[in-house]
Amino acid sequence: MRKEIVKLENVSAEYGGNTVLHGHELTVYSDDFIGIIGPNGGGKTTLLKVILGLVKPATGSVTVFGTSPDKVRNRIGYVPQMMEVERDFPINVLDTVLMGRLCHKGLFKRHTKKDYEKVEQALDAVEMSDMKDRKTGDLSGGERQRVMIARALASEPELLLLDEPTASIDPKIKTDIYDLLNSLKKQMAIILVTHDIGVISSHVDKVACLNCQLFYHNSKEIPKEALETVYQCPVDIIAHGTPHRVLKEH
Amino acid sequence: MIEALQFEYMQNALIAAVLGSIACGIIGTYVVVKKIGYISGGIAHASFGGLGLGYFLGVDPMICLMPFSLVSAWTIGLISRKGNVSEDTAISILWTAGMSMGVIFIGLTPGYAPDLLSYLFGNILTVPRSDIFIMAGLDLFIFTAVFFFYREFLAVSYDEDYARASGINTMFFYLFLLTLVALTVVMLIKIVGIIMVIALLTIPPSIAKQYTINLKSMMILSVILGIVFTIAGLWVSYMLDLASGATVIILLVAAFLISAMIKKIKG
Repeated sequence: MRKEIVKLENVSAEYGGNTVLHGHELTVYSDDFIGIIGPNGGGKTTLLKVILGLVKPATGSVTVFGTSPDKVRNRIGYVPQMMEVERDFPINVLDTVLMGRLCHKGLFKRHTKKDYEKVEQALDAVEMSDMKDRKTGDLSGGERQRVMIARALASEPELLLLDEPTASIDPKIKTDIYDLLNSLKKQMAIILVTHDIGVISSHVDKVACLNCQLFYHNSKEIPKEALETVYQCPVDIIAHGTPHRVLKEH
Repeated sequence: MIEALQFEYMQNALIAAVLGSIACGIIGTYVVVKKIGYISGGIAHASFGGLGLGYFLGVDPMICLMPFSLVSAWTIGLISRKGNVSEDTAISILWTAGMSMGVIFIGLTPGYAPDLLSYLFGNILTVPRSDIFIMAGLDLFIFTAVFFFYREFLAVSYDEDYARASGINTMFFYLFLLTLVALTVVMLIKIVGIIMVIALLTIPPSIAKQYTINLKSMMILSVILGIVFTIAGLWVSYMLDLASGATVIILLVAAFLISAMIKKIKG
């Protein structure tokens, strides 16, 4: 059944004193796999943080699973932008992924057998089970991204949010990550943001453009005008032909 | 050294070295991985105001030290998260405001301020038995807090945004962590003094970090390193008649350099 999962109505938000989102409308359904593209500084991360409830919108309303985001945190999985995660932090893969179980725990509760089972399943899903005793910071970019996705999966999310999951990862691994997300989309709604227009279109089902304003057409095609408004300059056509095309025939 | 052990002040010094190392190994680990060394330095220096107030009121300076360090920890924490001032600026202001208040209070106090230097530079040989009990109590509190909230402190240290997205009250745990830092600072002031507290908080965990891949083992190794180097420093200072706090720090710095070089050579 197609359920409404995220609903943004007239949402504006500020970040560091600048208005980065202007009057956003966005509805995400339970079977959606949406890619949001836009230039750096266009408010993509802020949009995700609004959906997560980490940034309160200045105007408008955000509902996630029919309620406010902070009430449903145990149903949202989050894969933050990789730069923010410390590389020389002394932590191994298993403990990193265990953090994904925190949203299901109250204070003073120890980890249970079920927590470890969920972590094992999540590591299996991203094919990182044999790395679980390695130091997370020692892994390659692609491997660390898998660990971060596993951490989000361990929380058994119904909505998965990813911030630039393929930034600074080589093309071969990028495809692997998109394949992984494709295999997950039957179980959860997925929203990912990226500035990487080239690759995204072949993998996601719907594309939105964001640069302070949001253009969302409920399809994979974006009118060239929308892209030019978003990037504020003439945009070269980056579509790579059938069957994966972001832009209309022109 | 062995014959010195019959003196109560030497026994106290050794116990204080062990108790102080336990607190600074556990809390110093968080200070290092969360990179709040400068905040810790700010808390330590700001508490000098409490010391001055203690002299002025004619009570044991230790009594005023703790509330001062706690209030400065919370102020730095709250201003840096909620205010429009950057963390860096907040620390600099509190650091100097506390020290200035201390200087003024001491100036207003008639006569000479006894032991002032031992608070600034530490003198482990003057730790009284009563302080040993306070230190043991603080150790117990710190250990219990970290035992029960290990996962929360880990999440807040590793990735605060993710922790918040998981429903953890990150503001509370951040302030709680700064509270534990403030308590540790008070303990360590007797050993190495206000000025050198951050060395004891950061150097043993920084060495331990090079050899461990999780926080628990980093804490255990830091505690061991702390105990070894404070006792070694105590012994060297006793043999050569040097200032104990400064000797401990110099040994730690030397150990850090050697360890970093070994790591570098090994690749």
